[in-house]
Amino acid sequence: MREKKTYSYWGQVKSAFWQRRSNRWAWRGLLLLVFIAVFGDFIANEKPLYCKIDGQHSFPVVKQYGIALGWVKAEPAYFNANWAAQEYESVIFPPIPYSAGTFDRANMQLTSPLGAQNIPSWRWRHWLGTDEIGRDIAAGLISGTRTALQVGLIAMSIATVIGLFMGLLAGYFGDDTFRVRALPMALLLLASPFLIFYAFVVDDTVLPFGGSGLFRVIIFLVLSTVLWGLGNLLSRGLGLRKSWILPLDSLIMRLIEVINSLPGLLLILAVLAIVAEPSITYVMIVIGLISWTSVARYIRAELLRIRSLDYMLAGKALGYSHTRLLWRHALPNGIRPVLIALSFGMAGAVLVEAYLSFLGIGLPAEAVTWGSLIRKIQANATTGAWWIALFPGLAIFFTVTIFNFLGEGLTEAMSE
Amino acid sequence: MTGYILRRLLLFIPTLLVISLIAFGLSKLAPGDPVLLYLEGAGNSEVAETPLRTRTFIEVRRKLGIDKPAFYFALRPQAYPDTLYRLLTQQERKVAHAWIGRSGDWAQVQAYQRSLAALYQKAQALPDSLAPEYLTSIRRRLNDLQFVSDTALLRKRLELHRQEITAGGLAEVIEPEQSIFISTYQDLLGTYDRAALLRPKWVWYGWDNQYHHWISGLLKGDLGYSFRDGLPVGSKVRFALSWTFWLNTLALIIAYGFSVFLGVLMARHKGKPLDKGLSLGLFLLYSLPSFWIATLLLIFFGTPDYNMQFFSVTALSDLDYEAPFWTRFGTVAQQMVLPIFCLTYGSLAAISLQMRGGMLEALGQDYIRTAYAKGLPERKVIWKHAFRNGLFPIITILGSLFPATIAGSVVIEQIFNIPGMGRLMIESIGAKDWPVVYIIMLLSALLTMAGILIADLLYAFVDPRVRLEKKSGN
Repeated sequence: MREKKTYSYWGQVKSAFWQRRSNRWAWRGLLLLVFIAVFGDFIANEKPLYCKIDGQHSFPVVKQYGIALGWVKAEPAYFNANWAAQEYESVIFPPIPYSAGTFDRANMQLTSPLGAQNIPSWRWRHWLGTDEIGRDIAAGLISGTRTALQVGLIAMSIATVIGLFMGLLAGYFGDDTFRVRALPMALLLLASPFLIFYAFVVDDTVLPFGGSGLFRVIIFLVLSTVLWGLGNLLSRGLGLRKSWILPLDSLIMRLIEVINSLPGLLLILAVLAIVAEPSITYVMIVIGLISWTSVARYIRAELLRIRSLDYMLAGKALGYSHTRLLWRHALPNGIRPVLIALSFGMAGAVLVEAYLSFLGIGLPAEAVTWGSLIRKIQANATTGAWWIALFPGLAIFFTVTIFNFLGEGLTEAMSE
Repeated sequence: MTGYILRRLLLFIPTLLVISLIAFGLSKLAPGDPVLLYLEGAGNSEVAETPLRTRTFIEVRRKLGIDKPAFYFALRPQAYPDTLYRLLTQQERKVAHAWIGRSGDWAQVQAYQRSLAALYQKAQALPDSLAPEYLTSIRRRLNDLQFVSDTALLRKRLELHRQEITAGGLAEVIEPEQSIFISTYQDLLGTYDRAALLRPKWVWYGWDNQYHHWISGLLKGDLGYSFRDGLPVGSKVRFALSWTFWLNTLALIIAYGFSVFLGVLMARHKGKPLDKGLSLGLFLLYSLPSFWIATLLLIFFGTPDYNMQFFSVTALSDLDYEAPFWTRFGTVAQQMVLPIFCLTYGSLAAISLQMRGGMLEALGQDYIRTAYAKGLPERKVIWKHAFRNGLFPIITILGSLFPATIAGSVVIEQIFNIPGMGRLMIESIGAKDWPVVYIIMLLSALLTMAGILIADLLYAFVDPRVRLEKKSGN
């Protein structure tokens, strides 16, 4: 055991988690995945990591980032270069000297990883074979890692933000303690058509910064908050004491039920069918918008437990405000179970992304992902090219297993 | 109990209503003119001649019920007219929308469009002999201009138009329409009524709207007609549903059957290598993506290239319904082996692990110790005393398993080409066949909710301690 013996709850969870070998391996696997996703360009790239041409040292892979950021100007030769065939004084290529989109013209038509390959030396071998247009499968797997983790991460960030907010409200306030003053509430209800109008209906031409979806959501939130604050000030100024109790818990749980009975995959497909240019962004947003419910459920259950604990009652007795109790006391203690929901959520999001790109929906045609690699075997079913489906599937399996193990390990460690 | 069920069923209604609104809203935002989709489905997408085209459009719009406002009410800037929905094609509506959004003055837009139409009529009326090499392109360009709202593009086209008029020597004959058009065009470009675009307007359309007609038809049992082939949605969905239902029921029954025994087996050997190995194996099985396994199985066992073609996987949609029952059964059964396997293994793993947990929990109870103490054989203790209580967790996960199986079935049906709901859904969404998509969305939500309800009821049935009435407030 490498942890010091502690008696705090979190310390116990940690040591219970590290005690199991499968959890430790899952954690290492996750680190590996993150490493591949972050440093993918340095692992599989057609450009050399370092090269010396005509006495000039250069680092083409690093330069690639500079160009993408707009810091470095690229000469046309940089884009048109055939890096593999160039003459170097000295050169270091990445471990896999191919990018996901590199066509190896000498090894078109599904080169098997086991058979003979048309390559100058073992350094150029396609260890996992190529697809039907000569793209290296291993490089494809590396670039797919980034897409998969990106989808999972962004979808889960959206889910966490919404789920945390909803779960906190439902769990902390329950059904009987959320009081709203009548005036701001009435004001909001009355003004809601206008809020919706100015945030979501008016034409792009009258909005100051054009009309992106995110911007409109921000307008909506800002306008409603301002209105809410005004109403509160007004009712305080007028001395209006009338207030209502809002059964927040019931309302939010009903909303969760509705969302859970939505057919998620169908919704994603339908949304992708209506947007002008299907892109992975929509997939991430929709996954986030439907999977916050599990985050909310975990945090709600935890807060229902916490709200009657002694320190919360003490805080209340000391006259702390709801905001202080929520952010300083309830949240830090109640947030951990969210990790469970996030682990399983990541597994689910990776699977959905893989399945969608397997169907060829939601990604640009030239993007290389795990799912799109597997899809290729359908067109090449009769060629016996098992490698284009086997390896990406293993990558998906590996990733999903890691997240499932983490989720399972956390559940177990927290219930002990 | 009856009261509880009734209350739960009543709660279905708002959920279904919300889903119907989401589905309907999505379909209204979708690109693609339903009339054109319908005409394409009916096999005559090329209705070129203008008067006939207009008549066809009016007819089809009436038939599909889309000649009405979309919803009970609308909230839009004052600049927009209430009757925009009467424009025949989606393209026209889109162009009108874009122009109003830019200028804020519908009257001005109309004046522009009328003058353009007049100019086009004039160009049509001119005899071809006047400038044969230019007139065709002038006419075509004017016709296209109706659908252009991008100002830069418009300016470029108009410049070309002017050049061709001068080159063809048509400047005199095409007056006065040409100069009227140019002046309305310049007026329109110069207009920007910001106030009209910023002022909200609430329009009440009444009951005679698309959503109302659709939803009241639905309640009367009229599910509408598919855009794609004009078949009634009801029969299409019923056919697909029967496939999906049998496939999933069978998969669930098999999964439950096996996992009860696996779970008990693991619980009995808790901590021993058998339990550890099985647990790990099942956990890994649970993480295997079924679309991948399905694809691999299909390729390895379904094509002759790997010398392992044990199953034929020709499309089930070509099934000969006239054949004798047993022949049909044989064909279907042989083709169902792989899909059912793919549907089963995931839930099998999940259920077994739950069953193991449930049995361990039950075996830890005091009454089990008592049973052992009074000398009952292990077989009896396990099956008579612990088993029933060990079932609780696998009953509760039925509720969450149901939607998962439906989602999984989408994947499997698509890969194995089974004419079920999943494939119908993907095809219908791809073809923007909204009447079918609506029903599938509602139906799968209904199935999900029913699954959760059934799981709750079963739970109360097996465990007399569970009181549903109190839980319902949760």
